[in-house]
Amino acid sequence: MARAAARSQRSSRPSQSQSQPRPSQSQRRIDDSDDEDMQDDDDGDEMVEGAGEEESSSTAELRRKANALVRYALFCEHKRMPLRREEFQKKAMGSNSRSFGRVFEMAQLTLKQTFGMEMVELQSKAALEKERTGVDEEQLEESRKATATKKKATTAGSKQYILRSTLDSTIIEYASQTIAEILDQELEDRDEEDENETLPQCYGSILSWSTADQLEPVGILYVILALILVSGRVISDTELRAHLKRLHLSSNVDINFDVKSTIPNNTQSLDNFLESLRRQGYIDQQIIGDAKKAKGPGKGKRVRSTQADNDSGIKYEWRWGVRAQSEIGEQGIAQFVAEFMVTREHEEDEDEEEGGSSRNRRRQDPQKKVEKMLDGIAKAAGGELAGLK
Amino acid sequence: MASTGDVRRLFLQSLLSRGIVSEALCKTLYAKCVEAVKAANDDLNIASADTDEAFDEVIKQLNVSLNDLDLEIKSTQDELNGKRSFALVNTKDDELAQMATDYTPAEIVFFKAIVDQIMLARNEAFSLSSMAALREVSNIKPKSNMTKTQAETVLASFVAKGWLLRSKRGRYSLSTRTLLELYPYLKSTYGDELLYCTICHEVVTKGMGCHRPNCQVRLHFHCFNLYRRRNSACPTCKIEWPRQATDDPLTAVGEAAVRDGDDGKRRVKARRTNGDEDEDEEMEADSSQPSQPSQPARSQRNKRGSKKKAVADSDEEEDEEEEDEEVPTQEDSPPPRRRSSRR
Ligand SMILES: [Zn+2]
Ligand SMILES: [Zn+2]
Repeated sequence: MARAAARSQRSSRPSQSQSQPRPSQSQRRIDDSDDEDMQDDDDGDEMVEGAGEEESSSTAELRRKANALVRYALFCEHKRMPLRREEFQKKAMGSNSRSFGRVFEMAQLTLKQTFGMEMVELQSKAALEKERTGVDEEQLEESRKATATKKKATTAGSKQYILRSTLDSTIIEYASQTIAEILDQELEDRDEEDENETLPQCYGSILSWSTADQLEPVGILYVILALILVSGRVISDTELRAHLKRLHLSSNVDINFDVKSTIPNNTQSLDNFLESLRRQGYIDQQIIGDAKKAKGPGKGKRVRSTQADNDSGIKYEWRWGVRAQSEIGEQGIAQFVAEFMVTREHEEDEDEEEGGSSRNRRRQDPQKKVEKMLDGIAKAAGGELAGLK
Repeated sequence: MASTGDVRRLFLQSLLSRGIVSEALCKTLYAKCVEAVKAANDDLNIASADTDEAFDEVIKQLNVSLNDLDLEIKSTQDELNGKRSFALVNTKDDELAQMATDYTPAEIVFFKAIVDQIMLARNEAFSLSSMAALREVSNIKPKSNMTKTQAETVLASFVAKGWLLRSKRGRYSLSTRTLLELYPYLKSTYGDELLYCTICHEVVTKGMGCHRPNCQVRLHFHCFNLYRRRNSACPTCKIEWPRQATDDPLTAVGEAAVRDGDDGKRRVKARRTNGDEDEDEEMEADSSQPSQPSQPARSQRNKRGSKKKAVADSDEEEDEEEEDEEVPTQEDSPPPRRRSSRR
């Protein structure tokens, strides 16, 4: 079933809808001009490639495999699973797995030239860990730069990739906005789809994310990420659940999925939902180091499956997972929170006015408010907000 | 810096993010992609594609760039309203694509079983009652632990995602999305069952057929209407046709062709073991009787006179354990007797 890469535009949610992070943050642009100097995301195994191969036939073979990789990347993205290099190699590379580096380069070029997309390697958990515990900010900054421009540190490689747009940020921004003509057409098409009350919302943007076969209640994910962020990038399990409870999300409340999902009754418990987010790499859970195992903050033991704090005295805490770092980004979430708050305030103002309130309060420029809010979020997070990793 | 090529890149991203889109929306999207790129780089001189010819050319060129990837922007007309839709589809039915669907392997097996029953439905009915669809769960091999309740959820998901249609009568049939995106699979698996429209040459699963017994003409409703405006006789056998596609004595393709009792039986297509054999063997799946002479899948043409209202689903499903003992319906024979429940 070939609806490829429906999620590839996660970097480009409509900014109109307040429930999504803005696209501009999450977009890393690569110009057409750098088609030639492809990043070397491989740790150099292609160097060992057999020298005695027939050039022409092997090139054709590599091209075929590169095309298979492009397809695989698009399909994985559609399924919203990271592309696992190992899995691809097993499936498609056969015995010739050493040439993966070249295949990857060719595939990357095709993705960029044909689709305006690129594969981006997710950071490994180890690298994230290092980053979060490491004190050397300068070294950190350097490695971050290195990641962005050329080679990734070997330790950072997770061998898992997601797709991201390489189009100019102006284009992405434009493509994420509601355009009246598109919205009108979407609504018209929808009207003809008689009695189908389960149609996804439409937003009238060139890049749609709502009609994708999306299953997760993405709003709740963003709220969870935001809670973690403003709690200083880590939140104890107890605290997180207390916050969620205030939002009427407690362990015994079902989270509703839409009919497109195949989850029984289209609902899932909070625990299961957290677990699936954890498995997808959006959030990460650890045991808070107890007396015996403590080796310092943030070095708690990783847990296999989602646990709630319990009587045994083991405490858990939550952080962002690798996928959230690469796909949504701290700035994206902050923007989402800020815009949501500001728009809501704005609407409340309007409601008041409609309600006959004669208060003539001078309204602050919403953009300024958003910026102020972003500053506040960065402070709460405990440091400058990171873009995409 | 934005370049002219970004228009087609953005357009492809747009199609990828959407799945199936109407022709009008598709054209609007392209026009807006042009504007998006112009917004990023004012100096670019990008041709718009505001004529049909120009738009066709855009699609053609995009398909050249997608060809090596076994992807294609394909379009087809909705079988019910004749509206054209576009989608970026996979043209290869390979393992990697399979594993990349967003259903579990068990759910995909279930989906394939449903498609199988739709494709093998008698009398060109190309549809399956909801109870028969649920019953497929127990026929899945290897045995699945999917419950009927879970199967209902999964079926609803197939419908919600546009893979299956569910009619007012509660019958499942193939959607435009499935006909577009799964055509390679349908073609390789049901090459003999697929019917093609004489006018537009696309697959017909809902439409009409010429009533002359051996005439192969099948048309979509919209193609029939188009053709009938200027012609009064069958394009092949020249027999006179009535005004409407649903009028007697024309035959039906789709759920109107369902006859009493058809839903009570499963059909199983014997997979060919040697390539030379070109006759489908058909068996009653659960037959506990000595097998009846086999019947070619599609030779049997439904006569208008024997068209009956579909069997109410509930009639069929009182007893799930019930073995099917029906003898395959012979042409022109009266509708099969109702089976009696053995309990
Ligand atoms: Zn036709
Ligand atoms: Zn005829």
